[in-house]
Amino acid sequence: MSTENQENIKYFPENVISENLNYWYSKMMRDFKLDSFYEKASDTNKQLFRFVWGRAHNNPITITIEIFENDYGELRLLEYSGGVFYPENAIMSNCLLQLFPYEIESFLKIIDNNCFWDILSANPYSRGLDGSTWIIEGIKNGKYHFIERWAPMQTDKVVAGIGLCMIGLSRMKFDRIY
Amino acid sequence: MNYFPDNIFNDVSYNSYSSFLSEMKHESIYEMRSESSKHFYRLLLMRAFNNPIVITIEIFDNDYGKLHYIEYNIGELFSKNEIVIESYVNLSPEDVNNLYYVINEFDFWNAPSKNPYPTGLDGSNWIIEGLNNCKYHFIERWMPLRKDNVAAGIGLCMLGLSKIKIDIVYLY
Repeated sequence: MSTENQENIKYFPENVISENLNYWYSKMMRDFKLDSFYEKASDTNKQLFRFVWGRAHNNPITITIEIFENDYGELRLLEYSGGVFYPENAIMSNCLLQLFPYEIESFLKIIDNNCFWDILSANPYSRGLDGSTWIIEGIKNGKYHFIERWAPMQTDKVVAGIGLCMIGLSRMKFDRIY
Repeated sequence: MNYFPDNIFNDVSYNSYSSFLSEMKHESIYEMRSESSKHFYRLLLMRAFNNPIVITIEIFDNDYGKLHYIEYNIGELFSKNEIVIESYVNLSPEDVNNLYYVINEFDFWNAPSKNPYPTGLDGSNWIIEGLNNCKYHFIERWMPLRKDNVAAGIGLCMLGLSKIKIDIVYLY
């Protein structure tokens, strides 16, 4: 895809989060070469969830879960370099794992019990310096939804729960979760 | 393809480890020993009641490295030997230095290849291979965590570098 086309990718609906945040989150996702869930939602029958975890003092992570019709799933975790040893945004870890139906069931229970599709997209809590940005997106039956929070572990147990479930399913060890 | 030197393992172990590596289409590190540029370490972790794991680390001339983790299914929910986790991790020179430290500290290159300890049923077998400067060496241990620092130390270091949480490492 050409640079110009990449610049035109819309990652989030307009007027949901501030222009400034939309710019920075979209830039981060472009830098990670992620496809736009928002743009592909209406053209796919796939059920997908993605957690973009931007951490101030650790490498950024993305975790994508695809759920298949047979109730199995696939999880891909990508860890990007923060610029130490490797160039910034180089992929440091690339992990693909199969999810069993019981894992998918547990994950979907957390999504459904917490009414993911109805949760307020924009962060309603105060922000601080550093910390972490949690963006969780989902596509189901052509519908797209996303939520973004700043360091939700202490403020938003619902978003923290969904993110932690995705981290847990990835089976990767993390030195710090914040 | 020969995966290990002859006459070190008993036939059952030799055939079992070789055929597993061959079926899973892993390269023979042993047969690369004439190539001076190759620098590899591989852990084959065969667990009686859990998925087998293969971790391969390649070290490059610039002191960076790449780790490849594969976990195969033992036949529950997915078909037997289907890959359930595959992960690549880039290793920094710092990570590679940590691995060197463990390899040197426990004198891997001079450790006996053949398991010198009694073995039992079930449990886990740890096979660690190394290739550096055309020198190939391997060690085989059964449940090394309580009795063999070489295999336990290097194996745990490789598991740690993979960043994957392992369900059961077989502590006893």
